[in-house]
Amino acid sequence: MPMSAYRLVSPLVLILAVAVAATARGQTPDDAATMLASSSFRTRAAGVALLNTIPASALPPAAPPALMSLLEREATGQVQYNEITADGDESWQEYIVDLSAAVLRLRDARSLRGLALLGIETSRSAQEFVASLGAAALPALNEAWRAKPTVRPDVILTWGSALAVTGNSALSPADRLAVLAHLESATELYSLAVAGAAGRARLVILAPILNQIGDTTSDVIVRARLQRVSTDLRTQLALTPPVDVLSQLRAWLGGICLDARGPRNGDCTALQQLLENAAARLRAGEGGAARATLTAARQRVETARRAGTFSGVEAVTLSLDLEYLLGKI
Amino acid sequence: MKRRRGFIVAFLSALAAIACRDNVFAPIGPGTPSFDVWVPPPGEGGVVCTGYLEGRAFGGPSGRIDYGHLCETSLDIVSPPLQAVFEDGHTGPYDITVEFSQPVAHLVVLPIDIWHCGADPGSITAYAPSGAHVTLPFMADPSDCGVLHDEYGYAYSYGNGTLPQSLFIDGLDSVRRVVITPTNEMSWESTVFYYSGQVLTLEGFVGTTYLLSFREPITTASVTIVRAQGPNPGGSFTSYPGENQLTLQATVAPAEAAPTTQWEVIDDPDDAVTTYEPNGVDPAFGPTVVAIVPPQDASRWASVPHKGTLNQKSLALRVTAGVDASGTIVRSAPAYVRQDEIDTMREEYIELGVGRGVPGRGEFGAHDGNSGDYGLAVVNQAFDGMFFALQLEWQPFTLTMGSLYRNPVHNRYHVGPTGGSGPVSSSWHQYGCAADLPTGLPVFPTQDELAKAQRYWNALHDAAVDVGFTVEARDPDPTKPDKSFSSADHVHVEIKCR
Repeated sequence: MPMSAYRLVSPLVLILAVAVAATARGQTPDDAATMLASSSFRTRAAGVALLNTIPASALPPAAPPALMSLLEREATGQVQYNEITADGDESWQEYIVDLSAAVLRLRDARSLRGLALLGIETSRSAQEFVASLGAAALPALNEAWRAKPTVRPDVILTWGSALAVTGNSALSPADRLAVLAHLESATELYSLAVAGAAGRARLVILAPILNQIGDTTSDVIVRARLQRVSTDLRTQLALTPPVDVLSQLRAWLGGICLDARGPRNGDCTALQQLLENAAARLRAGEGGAARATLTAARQRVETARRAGTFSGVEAVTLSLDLEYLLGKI
Repeated sequence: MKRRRGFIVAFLSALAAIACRDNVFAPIGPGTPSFDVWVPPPGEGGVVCTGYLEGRAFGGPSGRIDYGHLCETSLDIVSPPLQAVFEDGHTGPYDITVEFSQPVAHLVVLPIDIWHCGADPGSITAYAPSGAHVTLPFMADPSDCGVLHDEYGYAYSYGNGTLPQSLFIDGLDSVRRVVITPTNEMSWESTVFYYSGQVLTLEGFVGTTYLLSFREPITTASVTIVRAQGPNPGGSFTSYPGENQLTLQATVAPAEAAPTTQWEVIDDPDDAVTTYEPNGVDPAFGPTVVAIVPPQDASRWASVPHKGTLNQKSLALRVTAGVDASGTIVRSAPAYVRQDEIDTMREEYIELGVGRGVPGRGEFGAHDGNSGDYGLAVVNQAFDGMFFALQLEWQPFTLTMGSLYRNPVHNRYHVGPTGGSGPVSSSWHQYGCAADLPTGLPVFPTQDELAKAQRYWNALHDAAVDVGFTVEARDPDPTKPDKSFSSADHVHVEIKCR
């Protein structure tokens, strides 16, 4: 049967296919490392794909730094793109996924910037690797937050993972406050990501506010996701002793109050004292006194909200948790 | 006046015309022609084979030699060193020894020539393989000896030549060797008397060819292919080393012909695929051989229609076995070695050099997420398990599976104008370890619809990341500068599964 009868693709595509196939074949690992510097993303992708078939321990010495550098340059828009691809062509997406995986498996702290700026968009493993670097990861995450709005949800999730890190890389109290402050400020705009972070960090105190945001959002998918996460958190909240909930709430307040000044600082200081006192009462088994202190704290939050020293979300988050505690004690 | 003239008689029909005899010598006496100059070997059946040249004897119907029909038996002229069983008056007479390559029976020897009347016609000694032998005299027809031949009233002569008779070698069951002792006169003078009184004396030389005819049984050979298959289940195969060895086996009758079995392995002429053929078989002859399918032309896939049929994709070879039956090749019915659907799919990975390797046959099965060109897909349980987990996470809504499995050709050539994951991709879609999950974005969305799809995308992305999938980045695709969002119409999720 004449082959021409089946010819459905243009000669150009054929030539391209043959040329690329020829490029992909017969390449050595050293060649692949060199390909990473190509101006063609397809060639870079072929190089990454080839390197991903080689055990990390067997990579040529030039490959790891080249991969890390490439990811960082891709993340910061320093790489040339000459090709235009058509709708449906997923080459770039799969290339970035491959590149991120190639860098991630190096488990090299030098890859932090590239992973924070781009790699964490592709996998929880990347997020958790960045988080595992502890305090060292925070500047890179902060840079990503500032530089790339598209990566913010993944930065939030990574912050959540960072809060859950234990051991030597666990965040210091000060760093935890900074992270909590970030999460608090993102709660309204990035509620889904904050919900994810809360799940990872077991921030049960966010269950009420996430549930409320879910109840009021118009998007059915977002609503359902928030309700699902908040339900999970509520379950955990119910299993958490009030004293621990209060402890978490104090930490959250610390995040809110980080760098607070003026009247806001006054409200913060007062609330922190009230919550500390309530915690002491609880630990002492003085439930009635604790309730009274928490009631006072709730009133103080409401006052701050009315005065505008606390934002609506800040105040609602605190109020809902205080109400919960009042109901539990 | 004397004139010498040499001649060789080649056709029996010419013999009578040149038979002559001078009138100086008394006629030897008339005889009565009473025989056929050539008689077939006694008996019936088989092929009458005749040899007179060094080499294979020739078959053919009685009295005729078909030079295109080679018999099994060949002649070796042991002595003298001749190319044919032949001698003439210049160099002869001398004995000729002929040996057959295998014992023959019903041997008939026919000298083709004219012998001198009264000469000793010679004899033949035949030897059996056992060494037993018989010596039999040649006989000649003397009926023309001394017969007056009047040449239309201007000349006359007396016949002096005899026609040798066919001699059947009787007394031996089989003959392996013969020694021919020819007539003792291979040149003599002939006289023509003219009524004018002139007398012409000619000296003639004869040249004798001996035809040795015998019956050779017809070799009734048959060959049947009993096995023609690749190493994979169902006899399938691929061009991948280790899976590209075809085993070919035939039964042959008679069994002694089996070592001569020859094989023809060619591209199946009846399909729409050009399959590169094995470079011969190993060993070159024999009833059981192997053939190695060579690497194939990967460029063929670009022109396979979408989705196409197996007839347009599967490698297939036509195999025929043959044996030599008395010079005629007897062929078997053809057998076909063809890739099954699974190996046809696996051949795509081999020929296109997909970087993450060739899935095993056991990895293929039916799958709801199959968006490839075949009825089967690579099924990965780990991916499916994670997808199930994501589905649970996504409740109360149900995820839509846009595209999960793509065979390499589909992935390269058929998804979108330039191909799904591009020609350099080793996409996990090809291993059942990636899926595109639609967001419900219309083809021509409003701003609200786009925003809604992006919210869906973000939610699904985060959920997929949370359950452990690797997910495409959120960043805009720099190869699509007119798009502000990565791929709002679907979320690509995958796992590394190999």
